Amino acid sequence: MKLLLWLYPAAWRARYEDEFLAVLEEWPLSPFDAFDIALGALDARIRPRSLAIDLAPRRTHPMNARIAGFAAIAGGVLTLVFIGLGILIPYPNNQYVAFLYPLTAVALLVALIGLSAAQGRRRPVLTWSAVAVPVAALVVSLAGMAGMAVRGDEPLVAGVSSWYLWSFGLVGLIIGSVLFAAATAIVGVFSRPAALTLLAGSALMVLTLIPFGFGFVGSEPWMVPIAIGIVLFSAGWVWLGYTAATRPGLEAAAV
Amino acid sequence: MASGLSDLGRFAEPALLILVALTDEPKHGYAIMTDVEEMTGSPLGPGTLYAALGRLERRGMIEPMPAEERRRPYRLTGAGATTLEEQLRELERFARTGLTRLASSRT
Repeated sequence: MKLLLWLYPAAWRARYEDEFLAVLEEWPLSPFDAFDIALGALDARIRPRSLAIDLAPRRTHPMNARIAGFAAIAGGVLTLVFIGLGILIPYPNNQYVAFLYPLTAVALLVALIGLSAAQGRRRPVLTWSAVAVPVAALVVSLAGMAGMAVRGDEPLVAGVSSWYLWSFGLVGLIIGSVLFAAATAIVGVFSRPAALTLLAGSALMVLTLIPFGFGFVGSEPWMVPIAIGIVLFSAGWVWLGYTAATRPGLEAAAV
Repeated sequence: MASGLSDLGRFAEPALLILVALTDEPKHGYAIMTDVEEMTGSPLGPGTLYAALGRLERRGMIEPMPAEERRRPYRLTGAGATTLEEQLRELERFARTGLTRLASSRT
């Protein structure tokens, strides 16, 4: 029955979907109701001006969503380049690739905060709870990266070296991306398929890249799922960024 | 129907039922639907409910309140109460006229 809601315009869903779903969960639906919902969707599409919200296509949308969108695209592409080159270029030459990490991290940080600011107006508790983990992890990983540049392998905090700090931050980012993607898919302000792609990529990386990175498993049988996870992770960010940077009508989410 | 809701077309009657449902206290969608069903014996479909709610909100007759969990209550505004009173008085006059004529025809 929830699929019927997709018949409504996106701006209508952004305004009414939550409360409408709450009604549908309590009201025993009949075939008449399904027909009635379909008629309501048709009405919202052919007579948008009669409703309380402006459903007409908008040419502009919040600048923070546009900036976050471009940052997400950059973060997705840089993630693919950073991890890809790190794996493909043999040690020790791949150490130079590390310079790409701060750029990747800052891009994803801007994307996470910007996208959450846009969708947090609709579901603030869920959005900000979900994004807290990846944002904190990114800050930790950047601190670890800075520590490596300044103090090398020496312990940085409480006997923990900068490398470990960076690694734990990276792990936190991947796990946090699962939470952020799940929240984004639930809130529905941005593309759900894009959020689910990011969710699939992040989850696959949690299951494969993290055990591989910490040496718990060998490389041979894991390379294919690792590669798929990285590609889905990057594609999810790029797709999410594209929809945020180009999609109009995000103001309705603020209602 | 009086002029206040007549331009709502097929949503005029659902809109009147919603306004009546909101007279005693603010209600969210499901509560409006159950109240209307109790008053009339007929259910109000969810698609019709939200089409009418959108129109009433646009005309300033009702206003949304902050959401409670995922439910958003709506309340009657001053303009909505005025329109509702006019509608009900017109219906009262119509009913009285009809009953008077019916009584006359039986004598």
